[in-house]
Amino acid sequence: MVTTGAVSHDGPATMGSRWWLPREDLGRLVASLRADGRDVIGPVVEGGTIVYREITDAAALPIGVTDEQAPGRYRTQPSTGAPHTFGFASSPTSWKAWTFPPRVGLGTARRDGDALTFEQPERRVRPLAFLGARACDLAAIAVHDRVLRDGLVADDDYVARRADILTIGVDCAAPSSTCFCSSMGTGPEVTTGHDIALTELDDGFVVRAGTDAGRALVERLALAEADQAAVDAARRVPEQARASMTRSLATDGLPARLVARPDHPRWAEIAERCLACTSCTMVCPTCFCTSVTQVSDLDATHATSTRQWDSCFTLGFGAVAGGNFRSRRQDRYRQWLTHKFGTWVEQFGTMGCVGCGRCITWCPVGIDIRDELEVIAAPPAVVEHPPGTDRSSIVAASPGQYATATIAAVERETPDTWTFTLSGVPEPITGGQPGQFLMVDLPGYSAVPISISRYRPDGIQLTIRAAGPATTVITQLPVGAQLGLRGPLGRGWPASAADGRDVLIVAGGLGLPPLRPLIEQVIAERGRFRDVRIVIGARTPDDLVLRGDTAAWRALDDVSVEVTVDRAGPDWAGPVGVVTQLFDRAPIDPIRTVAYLCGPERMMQAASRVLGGRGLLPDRIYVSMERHMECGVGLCGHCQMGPFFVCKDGPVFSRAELGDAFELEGI
Amino acid sequence: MLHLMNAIADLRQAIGATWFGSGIPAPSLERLASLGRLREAGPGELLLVEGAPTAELDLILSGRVGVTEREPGRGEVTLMTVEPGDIVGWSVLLSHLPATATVRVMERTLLVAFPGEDLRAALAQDPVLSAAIHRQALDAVARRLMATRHQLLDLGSALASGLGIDPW
Amino acid sequence: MSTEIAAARPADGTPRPLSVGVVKLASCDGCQLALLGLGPLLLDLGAHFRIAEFGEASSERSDGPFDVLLVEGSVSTEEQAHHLQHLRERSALLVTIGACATAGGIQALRGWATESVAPVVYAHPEWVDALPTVTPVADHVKVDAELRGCPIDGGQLVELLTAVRVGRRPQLPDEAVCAACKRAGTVCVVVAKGEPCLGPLTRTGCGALCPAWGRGCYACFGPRESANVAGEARNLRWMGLDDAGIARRLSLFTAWAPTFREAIDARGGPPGFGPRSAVVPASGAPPEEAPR
Repeated sequence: MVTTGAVSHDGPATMGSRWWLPREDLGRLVASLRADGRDVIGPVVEGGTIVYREITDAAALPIGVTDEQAPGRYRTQPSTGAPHTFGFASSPTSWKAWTFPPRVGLGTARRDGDALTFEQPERRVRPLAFLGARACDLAAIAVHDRVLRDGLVADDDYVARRADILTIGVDCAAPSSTCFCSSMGTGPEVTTGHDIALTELDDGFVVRAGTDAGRALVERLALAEADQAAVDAARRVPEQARASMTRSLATDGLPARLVARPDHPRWAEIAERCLACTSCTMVCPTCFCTSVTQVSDLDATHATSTRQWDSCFTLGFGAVAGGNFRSRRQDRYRQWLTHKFGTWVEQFGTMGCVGCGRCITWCPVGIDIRDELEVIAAPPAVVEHPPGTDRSSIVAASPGQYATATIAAVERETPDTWTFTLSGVPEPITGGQPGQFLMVDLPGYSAVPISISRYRPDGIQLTIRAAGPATTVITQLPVGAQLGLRGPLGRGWPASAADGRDVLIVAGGLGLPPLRPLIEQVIAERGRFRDVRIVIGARTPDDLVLRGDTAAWRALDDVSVEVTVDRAGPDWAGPVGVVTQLFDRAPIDPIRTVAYLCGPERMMQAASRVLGGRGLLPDRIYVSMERHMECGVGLCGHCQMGPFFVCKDGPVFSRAELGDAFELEGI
Repeated sequence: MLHLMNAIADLRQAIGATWFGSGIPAPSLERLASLGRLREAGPGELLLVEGAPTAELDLILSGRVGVTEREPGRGEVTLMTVEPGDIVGWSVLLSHLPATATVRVMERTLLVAFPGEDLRAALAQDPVLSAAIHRQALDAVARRLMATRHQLLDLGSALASGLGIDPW
Repeated sequence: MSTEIAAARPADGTPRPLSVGVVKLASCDGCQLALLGLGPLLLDLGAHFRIAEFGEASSERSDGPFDVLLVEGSVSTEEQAHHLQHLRERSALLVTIGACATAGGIQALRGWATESVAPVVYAHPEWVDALPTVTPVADHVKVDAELRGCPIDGGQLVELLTAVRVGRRPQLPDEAVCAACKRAGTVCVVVAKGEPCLGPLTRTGCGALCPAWGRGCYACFGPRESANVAGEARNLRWMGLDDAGIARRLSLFTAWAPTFREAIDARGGPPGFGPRSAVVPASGAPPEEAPR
């Protein structure tokens, strides 16, 4: 047992050094951080629970309190042995409450007549110090850094909040039964992400610095160097903690195994226990799904957007106009776990789990993800992960940043569908690819994803059906009104895949507008392709859109165009029946045909099955998937489909990329 | 159309080039062709009448015929069209079964007609031909069943969305 | 959007104020007070809505027609049922407000009364002319939207009226109370205290009020979508509640909501009331899983 940890030492503090902070000097540390202008966030006991709050004095820190955690159960109690300050495991609070708060203003939008203005919020963030962050927590912050700061699109709010945080890590000495950081390779000792790190001994702390800022803090506190006995004792703390974590999780090959089991019966069994209450995702230090609500005044002239924590366990998370992709609890649980341990790796290079155990402790019915993963993703069957996708072509502004464009013309396509010609469209949008889409925003309504139905050098066209509240209002806008646009987003139709091949384009209903830019490209560059066949289906003749274009394409002698409807009166002389009928008996060269399908999912599934039966390889069949898209850049999580984020990896996929996800219910 | 009929010098080849014929082995195809009679049908002509005995199996070479139904208040509506390469009159294979639908020619159509009695006699003698014809006929029926189901689902969702459950 | 409301937004951009009625059936008026409690917001609403009928606030009366009718309370008498039909015909949008109107309210417990409770309560029970069961408004007329809660949340009411005014769908979350607890930083009373709590079954909207004071949720906002009653009941059993205890816990303001009613029936009815005579207990597993 160490009684005093300091030896006298003069000379400069170095990175490899260990210093000694006597317990009674913890107050000096807090005071110094505050004198530095920082708000200090640290653990306090509140209502029998250890939570993180702002503290002004080290006296607020817990002392001699430990926690007992089990699946669905948390209690604090006096610790046995010498009283420690950090003698407990994880807290129901996670640091994301400060770096990625539950509610954040995204900005405001004003509508003055037909003109729109979008304003970013003013961000005033105070410098913070996180006192007592565990290794798992620091790993979680690193995960968020990858996702929200260093990824494809930086989240402005996160970047601002994260800019000036000093982290004081603590080696974990008291893991609970729900902890498994050693399996995830994140703890229990602090190795990265800290400015300084503490190892708690009975009468003080052995201190090490991880950054220059940390070393400066040590110098400001004028700490003495720790003696050898203290350094040795400190080394044993994480070793003992590691040994006390008896439950482990086999992570080798886990992502591939998990993603390969979307139809495991265990998912349904979990759903009998799971309450879909969202607690696991809310306490998780890395879950970052959000949704945006827009609240307007009664005139809809001034609207404020707020982003709040959302969860893949809510019904609204999987909602689209007219349906829901994940109406069952089992679908939602699968969505969560496969993202956290599977597709997260492909997105961000690490798993989304850091082994802190919060989701296990704070699940009211005590579902233990370690048990579930063991059953669902049991080795050995290892299945190849779907091929990676090319994400280099994505151009996107941060959510909340909208450009404006003006409606120059409106053409009615069907009783509930209109084509809008927009002018004043910024160059990145007019330079988009066939099949890409935009988030279209009108203040007071939620932004909606709309495919670009025509590119012109001076503008674009959008074909919009009044399907939901936002599109209903947008479709009533007159010429001269403005719309907010963000994009172009997503991955479009790869025309080059059909170079030197036959092209088969299959459109069902409103699937034609997203295909029109591809058709126009194919016609403009006709020499690149062999036979070109366009097949269009609609419910009734009155539901056919882009009829002028269809007639013009029909007039070309090197393009075949056929149109069928599901139901027709006597004045329709053309084909009647499902769209697959137009090509399932036709001569198709399976080796040299590339098919592009867009329409209702059921139509694409049927068409894809027919084409597969005719010998087309799955990587020669392209489909466009619709989902509840919200952020448009693969962050918010709503549009996840199996391993993909439709808004970023799609909306266009090859049938091969989608694999089983294409026909699986509730994915 | 006359020109087209003249162009088809070899009925065996013409049948073999269709989806229906492509599934029939060569010797049997020869036998089948010998039973067939090339003819053309004009718009409005009824190839089958629902409930009436089926006289022949028709293979569509070009043009378009429609499976129709009389609906109260709407008159005759086309449920689906049958495109070149496909057959109508499959119920001829089951001698006891009258036609299950009415089929009307929608545009000038060239077809090969196989008289029911001759066809059934040939099938009784040639198990290879019989198996091939039945397989193709079953495929055609399955396809129509599937198309009907898709249309039903589509119609169902159209009805549901038109019920006005949601005032917004 | 209904055509009548759509017509309130003519193309020239100068919409007429929408007429609003507030009426009550069998209820305590608490939800109407929530509307009055909006304070300055109420004045703001006054600029865009004409309050034609609001018995709690004004002696001015109107029989419609209403663009929006807010209905508080449940149907307890024949007369109320008839009046409701009349109101429905006079209203473009009918919105039910509160646990009574949307689920029957506490008075719907009368549906389980094996013999009339009237003699216990009233000196002259023969003067009481009430229906045998107390039912929510949607059992009688088509309801266009509902605001849950006992009482309703004023913010949700403003959101609904704004949505009607602007012509969009109101944003009324249907997630568990747990989500609201977590966003507010409220520690889970189930996990940390072993306190029975109906939060996982209950639609949010109250701002997770009870757990913030260390108490379990009482389901004032009624069952949420996908409410896993069987799973929650298993959990309540672990916390020491028997079937009667679980039934008692559910037998409050939203007991008559179908999801809860079935769970209560499966446990022999609310303690002290007994099973409903109309209910034949299922031979197999209790019908607890609300179908989605």
